[in-house]
Amino acid sequence: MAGLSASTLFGLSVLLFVSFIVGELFERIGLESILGYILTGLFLGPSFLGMVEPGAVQSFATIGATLVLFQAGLREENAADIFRHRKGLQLGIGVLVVSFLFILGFLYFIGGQYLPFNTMEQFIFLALAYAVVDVGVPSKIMLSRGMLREETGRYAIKASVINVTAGLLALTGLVLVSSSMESLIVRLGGILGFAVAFYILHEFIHRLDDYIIMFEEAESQFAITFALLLGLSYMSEVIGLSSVLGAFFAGIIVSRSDFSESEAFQEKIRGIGLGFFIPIFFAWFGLGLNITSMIQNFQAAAILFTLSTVSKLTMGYIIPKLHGMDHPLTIGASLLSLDIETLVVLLIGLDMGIFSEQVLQIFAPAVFLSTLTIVLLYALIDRVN
Amino acid sequence: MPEAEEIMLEPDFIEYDADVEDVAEEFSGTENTLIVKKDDEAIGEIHENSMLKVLIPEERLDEEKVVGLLGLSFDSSYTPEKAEDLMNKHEVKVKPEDDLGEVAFLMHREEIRSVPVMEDGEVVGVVHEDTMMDYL
Repeated sequence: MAGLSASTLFGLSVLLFVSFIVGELFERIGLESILGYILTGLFLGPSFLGMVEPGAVQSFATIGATLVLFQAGLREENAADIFRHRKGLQLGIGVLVVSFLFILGFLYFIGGQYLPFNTMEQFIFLALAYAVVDVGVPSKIMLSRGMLREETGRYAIKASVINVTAGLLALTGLVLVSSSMESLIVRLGGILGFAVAFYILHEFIHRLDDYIIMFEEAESQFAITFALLLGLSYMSEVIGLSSVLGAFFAGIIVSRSDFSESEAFQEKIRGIGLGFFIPIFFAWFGLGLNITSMIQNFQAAAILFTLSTVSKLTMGYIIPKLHGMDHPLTIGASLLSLDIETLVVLLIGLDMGIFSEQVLQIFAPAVFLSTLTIVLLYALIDRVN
Repeated sequence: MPEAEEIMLEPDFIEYDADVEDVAEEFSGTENTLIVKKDDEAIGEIHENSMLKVLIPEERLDEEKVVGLLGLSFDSSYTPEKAEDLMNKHEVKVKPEDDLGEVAFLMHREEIRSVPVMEDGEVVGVVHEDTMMDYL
């Protein structure tokens, strides 16, 4: 028991320290710190140095994954407001729908010959995962080019947020219908129970506020929030939905409380998430990667990356052009990144037994390939300009 | 200890679709809080602090702070077009009968310089930091 604790403490300390150093280096050169966390895990894990065992930090990574979605749910109304941006809506939804259909069509007709997937369920999850864009990269690009507050920057970022939000909604629907007929009734019963619990908590949490705020126990709001997050994540996992979807719904429930709007509460959630659990989650993802397996699966990785890039760049260029926007290629290129949003869809598929761990070995190279493509495209755009 | 209704001032209102320039002009007076109205209903408030976000150079901004991890936490007060983009949706408010100590506690905890006073769902006043100094 003492050995187990020691390995966890050692794994966490090394992983967290090195992740932040590498993440900082990545930020300084204009890349996302998340890439640094994943690379740290890859090099410290069994593939290279073998210093940290994935199992030693898995529990913490699980909480990190739920916190990603919990934080999204906590401010979901912000994203809902953005849907009123008409041009952003057309670009965000246009890229999502066209890329989804393009990738799904390819996978359905010829994908089975080149990829280790063959069921319609797998094709749909893959198409959705690779049709969703990343929000962090366009934000970083627009910030670094001083375009965030210009029409182009607002347009690109709002379109990305709409794309991701709509993708997550589609994912929720997909999870609900992804059920074998034998277990459908049982699952529907579970989902109904979950929905009732969600409704009651959603409608009445603001009434509990007055009591929670009077608790003498230190940090009671934070403790109750965490208990709700973990409890709903567990419930959703048990009824056959993914735990991270339960975390998303927990975020929506907590967002109805008065205390969730206080800056002090949000600072605590951000601190514990971005300062500990979420980096550990990405580093844990890196720990599980295997270089040999990634090389063996590189053909599948390259095909999915190419399908995603071609469809997103085409739509990301055409729609801004039709809207009469300046810099349509800059906007199109900003939508190419494959990152955490895609990973969330794949992890939910993995959680539901639709994929094996192999899908993560296929996805990982796409993160680096898409980053490289964006860097090269921007160098090209700058040279042409 | 005085209550909020004794130290509050008349609220200043602005329409939700006012341009950012109009908001800035309102702040050039003595106000440091504007109550945002839509269809004659108060829907939030803008503190001077939110205007500071507009002035921060883009190279000093952290994209995670602006958009969040999945983008669903997008903070439009960094890229505002209208008053509602700068607005907080009544993140902190007090009741007329709340005493000065409670108001001070909330303002200190939330690091804000003024707080709206709500009664029956309506904004009836605003307590400003500088008014409170008179009671030290």
